[in-house]
Amino acid sequence: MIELRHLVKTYGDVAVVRDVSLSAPEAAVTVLLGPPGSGKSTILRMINRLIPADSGSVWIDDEDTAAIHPEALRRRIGYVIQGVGLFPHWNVARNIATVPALLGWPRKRIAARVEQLLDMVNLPPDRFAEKRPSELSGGQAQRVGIARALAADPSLLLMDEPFSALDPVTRRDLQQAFRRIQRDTGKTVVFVTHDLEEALLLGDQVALLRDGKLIQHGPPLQLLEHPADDFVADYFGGAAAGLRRLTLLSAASRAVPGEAGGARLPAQASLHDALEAMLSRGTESVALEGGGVVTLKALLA
Amino acid sequence: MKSSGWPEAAASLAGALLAGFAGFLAVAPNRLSPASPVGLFATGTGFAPFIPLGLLLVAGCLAWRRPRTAGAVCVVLIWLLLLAAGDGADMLLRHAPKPTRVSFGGGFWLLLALCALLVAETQRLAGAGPRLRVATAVLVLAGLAAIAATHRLAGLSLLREYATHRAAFHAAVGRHLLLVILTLAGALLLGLPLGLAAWRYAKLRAPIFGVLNVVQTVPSVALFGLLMAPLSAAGLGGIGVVPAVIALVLYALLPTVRGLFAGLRSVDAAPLEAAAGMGMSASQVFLNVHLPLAAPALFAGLRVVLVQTIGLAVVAALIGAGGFGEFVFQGLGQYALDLVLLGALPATCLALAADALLMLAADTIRARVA
Repeated sequence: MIELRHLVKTYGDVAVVRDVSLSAPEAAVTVLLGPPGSGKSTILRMINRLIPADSGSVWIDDEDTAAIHPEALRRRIGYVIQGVGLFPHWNVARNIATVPALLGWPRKRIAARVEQLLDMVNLPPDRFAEKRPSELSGGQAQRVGIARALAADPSLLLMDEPFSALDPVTRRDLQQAFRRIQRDTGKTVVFVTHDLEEALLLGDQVALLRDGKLIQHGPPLQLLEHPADDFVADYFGGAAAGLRRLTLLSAASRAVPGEAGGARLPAQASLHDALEAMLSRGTESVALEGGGVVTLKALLA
Repeated sequence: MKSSGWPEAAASLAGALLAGFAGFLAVAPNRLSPASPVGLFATGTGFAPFIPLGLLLVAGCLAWRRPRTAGAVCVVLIWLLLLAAGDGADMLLRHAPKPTRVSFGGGFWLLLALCALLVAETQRLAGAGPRLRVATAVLVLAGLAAIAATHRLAGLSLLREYATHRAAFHAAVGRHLLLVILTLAGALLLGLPLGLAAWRYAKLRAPIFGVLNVVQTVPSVALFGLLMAPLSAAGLGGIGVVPAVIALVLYALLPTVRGLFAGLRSVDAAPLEAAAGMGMSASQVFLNVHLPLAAPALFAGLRVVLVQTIGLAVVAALIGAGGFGEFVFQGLGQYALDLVLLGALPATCLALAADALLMLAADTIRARVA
């Protein structure tokens, strides 16, 4: 678990982060969400001490990070940035091996780890290990970026708008790949984004920030259904909030016994998927894999 | 980009015509008297017809869009020009009195320049990479050296000057290289810390580049002269290798410092942030990531340093530093132009070779970095 206690950062007269306290639970994705200039990236960089805090502290598993040497701390934390920042003069394998090499792992262990990670991010090692970053597409480069951040198996992963520069299709691919990897590995993740859809899709917890202040923090559904103020309500889509809510609710939770025609939706489909299927099929009910149906009536309830 | 090759074809046609008329060699009754031109065919060499024919062939190849073949013919033509000059000189000297001197004439230089230009142009048309360019330059120079080694050029005044000054020439080669190597070492030793300081401390930037820019504008002869008084006062002596290297290093500092500075500044922020974020120390970020990514610009700067130093070191002969400049100034003093050439030609070849080598190195590094 990671805890931010009363973090403050000021540049000259401008308060960038104002008394932010927040805890990010173990093995979950905590999204720092907010418009540009809300202080979310600054907070992320204070966690791995790329930016020193003016006051306040960051605790990782009940250890004050101020007591850890910054370089040692950063080698324990995975870090993924928007620009990816692969080293252009090193091939993919050596890029991924950066932190293990800094930690002095034996060569064989590094090679095995690199192979395992390339498999994990769906880049076949025999095709990609020797490639140069300039030969990769944007999506492939960020897959390597994620593999590099996971190389030394850190328990905490910091991600700063990692998918913002990608085209929508690639972004969706990577978001799904990231969710799968996060579930499989059980990493604790702090994820910065300004994109509400991404926050709802990936976040177990969402912390909404504005002007360096934490406005509301909780599971996405809670912020959607019980916004603390007008800013939160506006940010979460105003009129579109009803549709957004459907994406967060599982279809199975509203399923009733019965049968319906047409293809069955996957068991983990959302109510949004169910509504989409009804609209495109012109029906008022759809069946789920594993039994049960969702009806329009139940969906509206 | 590939263009038609018609301008180049026209140039080779013009060259073919020129070959028949302009003075290919120049004959003088002795080493110091003015020379009169002798046309290519008038020299009586058997190589003569092949030169206009070769140029016609080049024009044909270019018209048929065969730039590679045209380039190969041009390389052979460069060798042929030299063989024709050597053979022509022998012919002209056969029945001439002993002090007679035969030098390269205007026509020879024009044709040589034309062929060299055509080699470069055909490579551009063929889209040749730096490796092929350097390989071609090496091939041309190796051919010239092989021709010179067969003594077929011995009749030419340039080679007779060489024969007279053989020992001094070999010493000059060593001395010139010494000046260049010492200057390069000095420029790196002083320039790298200065470039680092200019990049690291914004306050130092204006003074460093201000001073170096002023140094660069001082004419070389003036700088050599200006250094004489303070250096002799400091006990280093006003003439010889030491003051020459000091002046050359001063000139070399601006391109070195600017190369490193521009390189360090041009590096993208993302890899640097990633490196720091993954737990590299400041010096690890600099040595593992920042410096390698800045290397292409630094090498471009060093390329300027080398070419500039090889040229300026010629002037350093004025303050007794030796090198190829010795022949240049001796020749100018005696009005013996072939002696001037004995100094100027190797200096030019050395500069070209250094330029090609550094270009290849910079290109290799860029390919690794980009």
